[in-house]
Formats: sequence, structure tokens, C-alpha cells
Amino acid sequence: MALKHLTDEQIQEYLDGNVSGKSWFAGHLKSCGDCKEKIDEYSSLYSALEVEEKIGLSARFADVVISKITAQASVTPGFQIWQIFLAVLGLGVGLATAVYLIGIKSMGKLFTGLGEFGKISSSVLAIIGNYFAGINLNFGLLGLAAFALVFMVFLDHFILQPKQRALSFFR
Amino acid sequence: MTNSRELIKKIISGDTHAFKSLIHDYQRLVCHVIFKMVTNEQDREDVCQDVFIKVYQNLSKFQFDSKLSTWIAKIAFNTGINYLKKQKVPLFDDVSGENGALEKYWSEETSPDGFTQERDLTCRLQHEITKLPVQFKTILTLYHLEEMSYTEIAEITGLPDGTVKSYLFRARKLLKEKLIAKYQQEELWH
Repeated sequence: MALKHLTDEQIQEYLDGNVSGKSWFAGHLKSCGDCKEKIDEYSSLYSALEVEEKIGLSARFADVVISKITAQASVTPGFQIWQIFLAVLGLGVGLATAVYLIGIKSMGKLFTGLGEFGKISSSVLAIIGNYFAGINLNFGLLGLAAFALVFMVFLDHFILQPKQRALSFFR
Repeated sequence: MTNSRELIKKIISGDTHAFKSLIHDYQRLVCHVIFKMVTNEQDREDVCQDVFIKVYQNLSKFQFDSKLSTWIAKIAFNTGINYLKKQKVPLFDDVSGENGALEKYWSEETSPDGFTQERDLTCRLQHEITKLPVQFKTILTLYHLEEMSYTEIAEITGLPDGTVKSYLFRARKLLKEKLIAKYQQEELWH
């Protein structure tokens, strides 16, 4: 009967320790010089593969990484469209709240000294003021307060906190 | 895992020393991945720095679905791939396991074959490894130097487990044949 040699895959599985019938392998290797030679070649390769390559990073590597993070954090981030939209919305709500609480007439007086621009602004404020005047007092105030709160939380979570966290590397 | 959790918690709260400790613990792993991908010595350190900056920036998103080492190695591998793409280095994409594709890639590789002066097996092997496609180099490194499993390597490289195993076996077989051929060639010359 012709002797069946081990395949490259079987030898690698054996050296990786993933073979169940190890005794059969050992027995075969004792009687088969070709397979023994192949095992030795792979063993040398495995040993060479496990030799650590020299790793050369500068002694200040970690400091450089941290300084880069700090530098990136100190640069004012560009704003996204949705961030600008929310900011404008927040400003509008703030103005509307002011109109509602102070009164449109008092607000209008503030703009009379600004000429044509003042008149336009006054008209815009009147429209906003009238809209909010139609809302039930308690419900409207509650809604405005909730929105203002959500807006502040949003600013804190997405813009101020990450920046603050990065800047804490200065410590 | 508990230590990793505490370390991450400290880093997120702004503890510089904790982040330095993380860099210290994982710089060997990052270097193993990056050094095999980036041959330019000046760029190597910059790419390693980018890896740790990304680790810091994404640390709050780490959900402990895997080991921290696997997650960091994945960031390193992706950063290395992006670097190679920017450098327009061709990437081997034979995920189908087509027979002979690796051998063809190797024969087309034009790296100067200058190791014939070196008789040391390790030096010769390192030289031959540099000519392998990046996925093969990473798999060999993570398996033999970092002692990672097929599953962990699959998660890092984004390849199926079976492909990782197939690439590993094919790379080792090819390396062995290349080295034997070189030694035999030299014996004939001497």
C-alpha cells in the first residue's frame, strides 16, 4: 500500500495545535522521512515568524499624541447646517419669549431709533408676538421653557462637553 | 475587562495619565499592525499617532462588544488601509480565495530582491513578508506575534473567518516555498 503523505494544510493544523489525532501524526512522522522534513521546515518558519521586529517609536510619542489632541480641540469647530438651523431657531424663540413677556409696544420703542431697519424688525416682532399671544399662557410658557432647556442640553452635550473634555488634557 | 472599563472611564473624564497608560499598553500592537503596512519610516510614527488620536476620539463609543485590543487593532488596520489608499498603493482584494491569485500578485510585486546577501532566516523571512499583500502581512502578524484567534483577526480585517484561515495557510506555504527555493538556488551557486 502506497504511503499517504501529509498535506501542507494538515502540517500547519498540526503545528497550530488544531489536530485531534496527534498520536497518529507522531506515528506517521516516525516512519515518513519526507513528512518529517516538511514538519521541520514549517517549524523553522513558525519560529522565524514569532521573532519580534524592532519597534522604534520616539520616547515622546505619548506626549505628542496628547498635544495633537489638545491642539485639535482648541481649534474652533466649524458648524453644521443643522447646528446653524437650531441656533437660529433658538434665537427666534428667545426673541419671541421676550416679545411675549415684555410686550410688543415696549419692544417696538426700542427699534424706532433704528430707522427703516427698526421698522421692519418691529413688524417682524409684531407678527411673532401676535402668534405667541394666541397661545394659552401656561402652555406656551411651558413649551418655550422646555425647548430652551432641550436646546441648552444639546449645546452642552455636543459642543461644550467634548471641547471641555479635550481641554482637560491641559491639566 | 474591568481594568479596561476603569481605564476608559478615567480617560473620558480627562485623565491624561490614564490615556498615557493606554498608549503604553497598546503601542506594541499598533506598531505591529502599522509597521507591516507603512514602509516609509517617517510616516510610520505619524500614522501611529493618528491611530491613538482616533482611539481617543471614539473611546466613548466603545461598547465592550469585543476586547479593547481587538477594537484598537481594527482602528489601526483601517487607518493603515486609508493611508495606503492615499498613497495609491494597490490592495490585494482576492477574498474569493482564487487559486494562484496570491502567487500571481507576488510574481508581479517589483520590490528589489536584495536579501541574497543575508543568510539569516529571520532577515530573509522579513524581506519576503514585505512583498506580501497587506492583508496577509497583517494576518501573519496578528496570529504569530499577537496570538490572536481567527475570529479576532476576522473582526479586525473585516474578512470572513474562513478567509483569514485560508490566507494564513497560503501565506505560510508560499513563504516556506520561497525560502527553500532561495536556499537551494544559493547552494547551486556555491
